Amino acid sequence: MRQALAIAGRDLRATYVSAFGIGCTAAFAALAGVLLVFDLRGNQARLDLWFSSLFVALGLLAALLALRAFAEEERSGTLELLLTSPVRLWQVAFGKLFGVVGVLVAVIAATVVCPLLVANMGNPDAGPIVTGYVGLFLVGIGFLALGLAVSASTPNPLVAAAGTAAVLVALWLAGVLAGGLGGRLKVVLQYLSPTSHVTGFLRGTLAVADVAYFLSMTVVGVVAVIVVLGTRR
Amino acid sequence: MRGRLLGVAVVIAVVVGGNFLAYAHNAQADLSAAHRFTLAPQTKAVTDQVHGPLKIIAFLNNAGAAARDARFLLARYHELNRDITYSVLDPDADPGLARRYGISAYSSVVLTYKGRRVDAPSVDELDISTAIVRIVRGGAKPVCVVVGHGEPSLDDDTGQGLSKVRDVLQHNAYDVRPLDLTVGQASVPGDCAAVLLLGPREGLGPREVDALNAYAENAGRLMVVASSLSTANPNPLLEPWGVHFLGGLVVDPKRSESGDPTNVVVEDLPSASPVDQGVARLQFPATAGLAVSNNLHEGLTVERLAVTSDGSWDESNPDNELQFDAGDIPGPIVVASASDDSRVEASGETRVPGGGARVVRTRVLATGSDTWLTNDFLDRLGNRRFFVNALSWLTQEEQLLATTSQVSTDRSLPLTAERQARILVITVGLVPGAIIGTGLLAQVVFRRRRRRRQRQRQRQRR
Repeated sequence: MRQALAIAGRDLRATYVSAFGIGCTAAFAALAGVLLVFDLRGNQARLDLWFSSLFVALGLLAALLALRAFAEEERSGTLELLLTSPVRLWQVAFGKLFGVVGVLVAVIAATVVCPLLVANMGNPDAGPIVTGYVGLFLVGIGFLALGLAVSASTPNPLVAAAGTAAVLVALWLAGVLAGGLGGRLKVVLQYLSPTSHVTGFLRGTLAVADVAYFLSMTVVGVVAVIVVLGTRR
Repeated sequence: MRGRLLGVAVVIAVVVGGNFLAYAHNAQADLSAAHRFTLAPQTKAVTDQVHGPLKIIAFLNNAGAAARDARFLLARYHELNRDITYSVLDPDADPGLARRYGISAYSSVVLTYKGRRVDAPSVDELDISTAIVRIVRGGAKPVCVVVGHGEPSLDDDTGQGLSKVRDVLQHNAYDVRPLDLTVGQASVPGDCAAVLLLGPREGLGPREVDALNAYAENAGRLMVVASSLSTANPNPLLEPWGVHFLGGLVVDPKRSESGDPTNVVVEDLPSASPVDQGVARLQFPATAGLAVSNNLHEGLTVERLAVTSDGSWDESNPDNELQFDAGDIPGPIVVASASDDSRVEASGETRVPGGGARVVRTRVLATGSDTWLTNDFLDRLGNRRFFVNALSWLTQEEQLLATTSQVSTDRSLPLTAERQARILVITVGLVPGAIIGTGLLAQVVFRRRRRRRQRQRQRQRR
């Protein structure tokens, strides 16, 4: 685990020493503020619409971070060094994941001022805010893990970003497609779609199925990274 | 390689199995205030009875918070039973669909199941679960509507007609049957779940009154919608149940609409009766008053459902100037009442010693006006809800659920220009500025350190 944390620390430092990491975090915070104004146009002290917009924004963030993960490292030639060093593949996979999760935590932390402002002005229900943040964290980790898997499988950073976006859109489309179907296929496709798993976080409930879904997405992403790196080693 | 494949297979099996178990158990923690989305155990039992596609369409203003809460609540029903699907539509955005379902106002909910349709008065747990029970039960309950005395017609689409009442009855799984007691044997069919007398303009004959009284006494369910514009005297039907129709015209200058003191807005609904549930205000134009007897026989209770304000009175001579004077009855005036009479009667059973007794329950709902039910007024304030509640109470369909969650709560926060500016300055200006400033500072510190280290290394080499 120490190696994994060392990789994560190195990645996190590299992200925040560059303008990319600072710019991403600042832009996400500003976007959250603009979205908050749109949400409050309903004249209600509630943040469900704000959180649902942030879930979409997290998909974009995952694509951006995927761009820099393995693909960028391969382009600059440092991936070869990493894969030939005496670290195990799972340590590399978890190290990379922890690195982007660090960015995720920073980005989410930058939005905390929004609910504080709403609480200062009105009387929002605290429950949906807590579950909303739990949702942001789980959704973020799941999306980032998928992004890492896509990034590990291509040397081109732009393809990595586009591929991550394509995977997330495909999952979203599964839910849309399910609307016109019936039977078990409908149930399966609906379950596969993230949209059917964020409703609970927005209304203030934490369902085991929703938590299990996003943790599974994370596990699948990490396992895919290990498998892809294994074939390339 | 084989070991890696095996490992991947194990991980996939664990992921699929874990999700299957989580999906099947549907466990959740509700962190919302007052556990708004924890549905009652009765609701879970109700949804278990659905065995086929049940569609719920809620027609709501899409821009409002109510539409979002409706989606959240209806999603819970879908989570409990995947055969239940839902959509929340704006009648303005989907006028074709709204017209197809005969929806003309916001806050209408339509449930369809196996070719049947039932409407719910609102998107809250009690109403949706009750509607599911009704639609799953199937079969339409016959409701008999007395005709032959110049009553407003159920087929009349004009503002004075009752076509909306007919639609409400049909959409709530009631089979509407006209009941003409002036022809043939004057008796009410035994299968009438309720008899409605909706604003007769002419008096009922003695045989008709006898028939309706006989029906009421035999555990009957009667809705007497009297009219101040009529010569018909409903008292022979009401007085056995503790209510007296005063006649006249209620005048309420304090609570009335459009400058017309007889267009009464009722805000005092003091009863805990299910008929008043979910009703905040009523509009009762041209209503007469009702008086509740103080001398009720044992087993009879009368609820004052709707009462006008202190400043109102029942004008005994409405053709003259509307002014309180001698002969008028001072307010508050009851304009709607619900009588419930439970009594034990012998059934004639003699084989069981001391046995054979049965409980007979009569319910009579009375209003002093019929205008509130017309097409022009049914959708005003809580009139429609009041009528649906009254039907449910009469046919004894209310309270399938004892306690239910209150899904929609108002958390008003007007977004003033000052608040908007404050939010934008802090979230778009200060916070990103602080992040960029901190980041640049960190970069400067990092570079200086790096340069210092490089210099130290160079010195060491020298």
